[in-house]
Amino acid sequence: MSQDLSAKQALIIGGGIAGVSAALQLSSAGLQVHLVERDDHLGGHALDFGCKAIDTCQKCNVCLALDKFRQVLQASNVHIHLASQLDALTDSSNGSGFRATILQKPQLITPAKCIACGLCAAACPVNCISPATPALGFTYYTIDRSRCLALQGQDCHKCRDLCPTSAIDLAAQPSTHQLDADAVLLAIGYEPYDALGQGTYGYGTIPNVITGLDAEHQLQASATILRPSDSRPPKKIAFIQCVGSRSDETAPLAFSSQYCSAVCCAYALRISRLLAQQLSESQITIFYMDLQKFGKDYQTLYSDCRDKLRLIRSRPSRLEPAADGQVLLTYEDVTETQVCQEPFDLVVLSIGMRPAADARRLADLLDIDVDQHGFLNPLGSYRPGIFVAGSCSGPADIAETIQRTSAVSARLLDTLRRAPLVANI
Amino acid sequence: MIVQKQAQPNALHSRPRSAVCLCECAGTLADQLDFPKIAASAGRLPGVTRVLRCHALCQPGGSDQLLAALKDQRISRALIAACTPAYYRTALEQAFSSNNINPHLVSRVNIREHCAWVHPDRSSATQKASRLIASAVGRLRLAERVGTQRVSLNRRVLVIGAGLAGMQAALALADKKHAVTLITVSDHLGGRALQQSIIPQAAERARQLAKRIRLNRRISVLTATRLRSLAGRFGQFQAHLSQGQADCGAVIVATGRSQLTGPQQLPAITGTLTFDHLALALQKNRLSNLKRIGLILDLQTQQDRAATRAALKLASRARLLWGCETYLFCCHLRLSGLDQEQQYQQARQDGVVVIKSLSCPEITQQVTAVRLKGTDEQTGRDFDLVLDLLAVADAPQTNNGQAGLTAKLRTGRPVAGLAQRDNVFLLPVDSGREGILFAGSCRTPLEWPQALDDGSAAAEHAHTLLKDSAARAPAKLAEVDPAKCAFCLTCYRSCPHAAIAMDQENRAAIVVPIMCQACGVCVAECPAKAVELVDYTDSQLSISPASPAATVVFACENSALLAADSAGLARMTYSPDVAIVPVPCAGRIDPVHVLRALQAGAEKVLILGCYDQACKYLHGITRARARIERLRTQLTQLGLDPDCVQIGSLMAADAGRFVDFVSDGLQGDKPVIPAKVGI
Ligand SMILES: Cc1cc2nc3c(=O)[nH]c(=O)nc-3n(C[C@H](O)[C@H](O)[C@H](O)COP(=O)(O)OP(=O)(O)OC[C@H]3O[C@@H](n4cnc5c(N)ncnc54)[C@H](O)[C@@H]3O)c2cc1C
Ligand code: SF4
Ligand code: SF4
Repeated sequence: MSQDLSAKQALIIGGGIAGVSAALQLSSAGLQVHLVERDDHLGGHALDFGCKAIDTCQKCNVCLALDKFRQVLQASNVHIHLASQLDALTDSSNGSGFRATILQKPQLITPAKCIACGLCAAACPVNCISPATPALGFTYYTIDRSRCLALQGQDCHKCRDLCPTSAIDLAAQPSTHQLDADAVLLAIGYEPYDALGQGTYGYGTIPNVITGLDAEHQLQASATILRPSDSRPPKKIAFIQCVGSRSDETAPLAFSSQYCSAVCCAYALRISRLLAQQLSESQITIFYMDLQKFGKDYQTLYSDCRDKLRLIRSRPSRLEPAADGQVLLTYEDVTETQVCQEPFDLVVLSIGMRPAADARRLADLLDIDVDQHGFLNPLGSYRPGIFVAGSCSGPADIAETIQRTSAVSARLLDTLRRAPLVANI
Repeated sequence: MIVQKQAQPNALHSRPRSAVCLCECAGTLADQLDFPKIAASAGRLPGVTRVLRCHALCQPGGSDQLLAALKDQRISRALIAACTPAYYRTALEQAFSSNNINPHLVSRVNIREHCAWVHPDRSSATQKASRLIASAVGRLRLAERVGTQRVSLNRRVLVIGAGLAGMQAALALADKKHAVTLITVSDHLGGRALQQSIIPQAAERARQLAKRIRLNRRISVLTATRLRSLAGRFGQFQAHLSQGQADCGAVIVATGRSQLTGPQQLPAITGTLTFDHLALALQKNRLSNLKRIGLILDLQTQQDRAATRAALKLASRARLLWGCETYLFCCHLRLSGLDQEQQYQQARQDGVVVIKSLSCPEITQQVTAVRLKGTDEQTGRDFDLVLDLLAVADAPQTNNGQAGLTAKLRTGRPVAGLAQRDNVFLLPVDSGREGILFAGSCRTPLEWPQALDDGSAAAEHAHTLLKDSAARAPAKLAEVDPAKCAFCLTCYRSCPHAAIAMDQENRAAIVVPIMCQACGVCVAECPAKAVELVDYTDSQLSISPASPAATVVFACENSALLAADSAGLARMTYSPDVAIVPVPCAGRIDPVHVLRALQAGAEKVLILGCYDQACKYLHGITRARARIERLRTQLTQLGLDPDCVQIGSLMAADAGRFVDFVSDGLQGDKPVIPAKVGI
């Protein structure tokens, strides 16, 4: 017998594009959805990415992700729990479904009350208040807990005194609450590879070495990419692919990242094409092993890249600072079988995707298998009713995340539609 | 013709009484806006009988005054002048529905992000706010109350194609108690999975699904059957098949890419095998005495992940089974995903030599062998190999086999042989036409497990659409006036969502409300001006908020309007002479609106929308651009400056780009269209 879905609740952990698209799909099927997000805002990584359109759209899908984030904020049967973590999950006492314990960090600014007037941010002596989601055309402000003076025990409450809607409570306490759920979906995403780990590339010490993530953030903030050292447009730009992916002897990592992260070629080539058009005097070089195919019009994109970009099949061995803020890149040029050195104005490390920081803890909590890389089993848990979606089950771009998530949501709904066979007669 | 004069409201309607609700944003805007002045000028507007000043609409209890005023029967419509609606809309809509207020006659204007926060000068920000309110009240007075109607839905779904995706979709739908008609051109169920020897698991799964389908009473299977044509609307389609007819509410297209592969174009050589042949030869261990073999993955074409998987697997197997030297030639290995890199490492451990080069090796045919000569880019070393056997991967071919089908379904022209159009907002399985969905590799290259996933996802979507046997839809969105319709088919062809039907009997086009997405493209395209769009009628859009000698920006609500909101949040500044008119899609704007704005005194008209292929209304922006380009040519022919009308694209988060557009637009000598934010 099929079940009335509006009486059922789903708990989604993680509010990136995976969690959000699942929330939209499940709520439009009639479920009550609780969306639990660790950060102070929804959106995950894609929230901070930039549009890569040249004259035409390059279909990076960032605008689609932003659109879904806006939609979920308006969805009436999605209840959003920010700054929250799943702490425990037990079987619920009536025999079907689960009871979840959610820990919420202190909500210093209540989002629903904040009107984004920005008075608090202007008053903060240490500049630790900022808008959370300006890219959505709608935002509230959040306080960086690690820098707030009041939280360090000092007598500062400038922001609170100014807030016209009394949205600020500096004495807010962490809270715990219980939620009932008939199904749980884990969508905790990924961690970007920490480029500090690739010591020979000098990330963090050479100013004009940035990561793909930095590039995305710049692109969103200013629609272009400049050299961090002098905020000028770079002329000679290098992208190094597979940083922290497809690792071999050059990667000093505790555990393997012997997989292709699936998204880095796509964003690097799209950003390169964009820069090639914006900065007509620039010369862009891509150091790669293999270029991954993506998108429906890859053929056009690829031939355009072969015309406009310099493609070198090599994995550079080191980066060093050079005069005028340049970066000296050492690589082996196999066609001339010799070691080459070349200066660049800007080097972008195309970093890949690593398992989510919390993946192991949640996997243990929910009885989900973890593969040798640390990603979660896409088939979900041994416990029926617990599902996994999005990039926490393996690298995926936005399109693939949405595609996989919609299949998982369908499975989740099918499970709930089947009558629970509670055999306690 | 002066526009403001044209919109004399009382003559048109039975004196609607309007309230204007001014939100003062908890007192934070007092330095930017002179609320008493705004309230006074709003009170003088025709038809406005009440002006409410509310402290903070978004806060608890903040809308009480407004609700009380609206419940008062004498007030029939309200304008909310506040911040961007995202802050208060959800709460307000809930309050409306619990108080039985039809929110249709409430409209909104943004005086915070579009005025107070972007124009530092208080008096000009105040004046602009008053102008925005005046024009919005003018539009609101022309607004019409639209009810809803009941639309019956046939819960049967037609699934076209019985490959993995189609069979999965059919079974998932049957599980959800939908009747399903599953048709395939082939004489059996299973599709391409059955023909491939490389992936036996896929073939096995196909056989299992086929068996379950034959046992399922909800699914009627028609083999050797094609779709002839599709009539009707979402919820009530009539599919004419090569055998009989199927009435259905929705259609899932899962036709795969069966005819879309063929041999790679290589310099004329004979005696090569396809990967399938090689797989069979390995299965049956048919060949022996091979010393050296080669596999070509992608020398002339772009291959998918699946082809790389197959190549590595076959190369390893051949190497282990026949003990021969095995070479794999490729430009790029497609290794995205968790296990493929290891498969590659494994193949190399097995002794497979992978040779990579972007340029095709020199290939020569010898008596019983093939010779390949070139340079490996990984090592820089030259190779010159004589191979006993060469297997070449099939390559995707651009084949327009899908075109016939998508034409019948009215879902747009296929791209690169893929049935689903390449538009960001169609992800994952939408077609853009209500009630028609795509699943599996007919829409994008997929590996077989993903194709199954796609089938389930499409079934779930179809189920959401056809959950019940009836739905409610607006009584009208876009509407054709049959008396004016010239039956020219322009709207029928231009509607991005194929929501228009031609009524042969009455010789007029009809918009099907349950399929209409209210973009307004048809309205702008109709040469006879026979179509109108609720809330965005020609007369409403002609009410300009601009001061004389200003820039009017027609801003798409999916991109430019949001970018303007973001610009406000970031406190960017631009001239108060820039006035924004929201439109559902740039495709709604036709030259008449532009000319009226110019006649009303605007110096410049900007139309800002999405990028092509990231337009929610598919080709809305494309149509708009073509129209505006034509207009610019006409202006040039008349000896006028074409740059007073410009059209541009941006993404919703591109606040800086929005400000650049409106600021450049004012200077008038920079071409706006091509430049992405200048440096
Ligand atoms: C540099 C870079 C550029 C990229 N550019 C593109 C691009 O242009 N186009 C594209 O399609 N893809 C791109 N990608 C890939 C894209 O980021 C991912 O496809 C997408 O973000 C995956 O979404 P997700 O929801 O699975 O994960 P995430 O975006 O990581 O979201 C996970 C969410 O879960 C939350 N979370 C984590 N742990 C917990 C917990 N324990 N409890 C509660 N919540 C938790 C996180 O805070 C986060 O909000 C790029 C990736 C990188 C690294
Ligand atoms: S390039 Fe990306 S963000 Fe920009 S319009 Fe296209 S899909 Fe959207
Ligand atoms: S408004 Fe748009 S969707 Fe509706 S009928 Fe016209 S063109 Fe089609």
